[in-house]
Amino acid sequence: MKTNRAGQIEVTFNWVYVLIAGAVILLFFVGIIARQKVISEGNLAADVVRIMESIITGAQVSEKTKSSIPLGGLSEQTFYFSCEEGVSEYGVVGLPARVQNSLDPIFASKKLQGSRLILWSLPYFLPFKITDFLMVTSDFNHYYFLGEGQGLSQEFIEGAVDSSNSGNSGNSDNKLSINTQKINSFSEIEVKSTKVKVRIVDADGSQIQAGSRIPEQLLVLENEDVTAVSFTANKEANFFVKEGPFWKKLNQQPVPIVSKADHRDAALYGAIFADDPENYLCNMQKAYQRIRLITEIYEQKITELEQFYQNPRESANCLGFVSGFAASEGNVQDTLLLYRTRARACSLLADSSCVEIVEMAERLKHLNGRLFEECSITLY
Amino acid sequence: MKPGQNKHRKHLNVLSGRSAQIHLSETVAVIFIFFVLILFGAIFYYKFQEVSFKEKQQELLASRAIDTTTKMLFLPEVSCTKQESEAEPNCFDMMKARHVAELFKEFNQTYFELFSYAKITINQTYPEPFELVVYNQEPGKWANKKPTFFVVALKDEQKSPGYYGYGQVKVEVYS
Repeated sequence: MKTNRAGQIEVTFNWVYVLIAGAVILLFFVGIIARQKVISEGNLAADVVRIMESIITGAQVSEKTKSSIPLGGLSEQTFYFSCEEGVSEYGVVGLPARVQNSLDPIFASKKLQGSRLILWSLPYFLPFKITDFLMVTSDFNHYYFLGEGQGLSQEFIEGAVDSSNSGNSGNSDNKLSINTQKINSFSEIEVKSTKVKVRIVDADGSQIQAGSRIPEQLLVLENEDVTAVSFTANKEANFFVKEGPFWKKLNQQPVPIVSKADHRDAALYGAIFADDPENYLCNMQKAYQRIRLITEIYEQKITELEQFYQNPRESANCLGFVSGFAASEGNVQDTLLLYRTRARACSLLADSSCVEIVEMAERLKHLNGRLFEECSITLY
Repeated sequence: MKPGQNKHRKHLNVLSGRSAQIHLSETVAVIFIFFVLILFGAIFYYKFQEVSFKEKQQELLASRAIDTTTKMLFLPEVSCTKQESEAEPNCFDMMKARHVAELFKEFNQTYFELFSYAKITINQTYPEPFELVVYNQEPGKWANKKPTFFVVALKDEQKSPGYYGYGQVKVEVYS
């Protein structure tokens, strides 16, 4: 009897022992797997953001270029681009890795999803080269142009289509083409999937008003996926978003487009790619900050130009253009000082008065033109 | 109970206890060996991870060196301009570059975001050699330094209009 009982205890003890040991071993491996999962998710996000940062650096420095980032397995993820107080941040929603940038303007929708991201870099001159604006969009974003906008619609559509594959329309499968379409009325807008984001560009500023009705076919889309920008003849922009069946205006005062470009106006294009006025103005603040920095360098260059033009062989007018003339003609030195001061103020608060920057830039351009015509060295 | 039976039972009890002890020792030995193997595995895995982490760091450093060089080469603060047209590629305007170090120092935080821990030097090799350090942010402790060189034209109209020197920009990044 006693031996039997001892055997029973031994068998039970062995089973309990095996169960406990098994559970401990299992827990150990489950722990390792869980830890590895968290680490690889973090690594993936970090890799993606690092690659994006590299591509964005490359895209930014090579002006007037378009590049495409295939998202592959990340096509289900949502990328976000935010900008607050002059600092942009981008990354993948829900993943820890992110990049902050306070120097380079990046115009994009707040959230982007798609099978590829398309980056378009455009130089911003005012009057000298300030920086390259980077426009970011995806193949899920569709841009519809209403009206001509003094050639804006046609120019944008031509630029948005990859020229290396001529003959394709804006809606082609071309990897570098942005989905664009010129429409005459809202009825021409087609919504093929609820995943798309629709951006309507009212190039003449006559079609979209606050409180007016959203086209019927767009009602199936989420509010934040239907946005519009309307340009006025005075080079101002108004931003709209879908609110139920109506358009809601996002800005109280019209947002000025601070630029003087005749072709592919980077500041104007930025308003097409940015979802809302806050995002747009925040990125413009970065541009104003860059104007301030570059102007400081040109102010230093002025001291060298002054030394150069003090040479009696050089025309006295040249020194006048640089730092001598006052009153209506003005000189580069004084104009640069005003320009830098105004840019500094706008980098802190980008309001409607920032259009004055354009006037000053025009004055600088004129003076630089005079230096080019009459003297041997120009400012820029 | 007979005395012979009692003795036999006692002997059986001793045998059964000894066999249970042997079983227990076996199990403990197996578990011990199992955990030793796991420990070896873990050590091997962490060594492997350490090596790949170092490799990854090297890769990141190389990538950062290229990024920083690219940023420097196209920086509007130093690049040569031709009025409103595109900047001259791979060219630094020395009338701007001579003052850029002060700007980088004054707006240290802004440019640190652009170049991070790095040293950027402009070396002119022709006609007269000179060296100009425009940016230098060395970390307190660093393990690796990766230099990258790029040939550039150095426009210096202060000397005479249309005057170009020839040299290189050296970008060293730290990690």
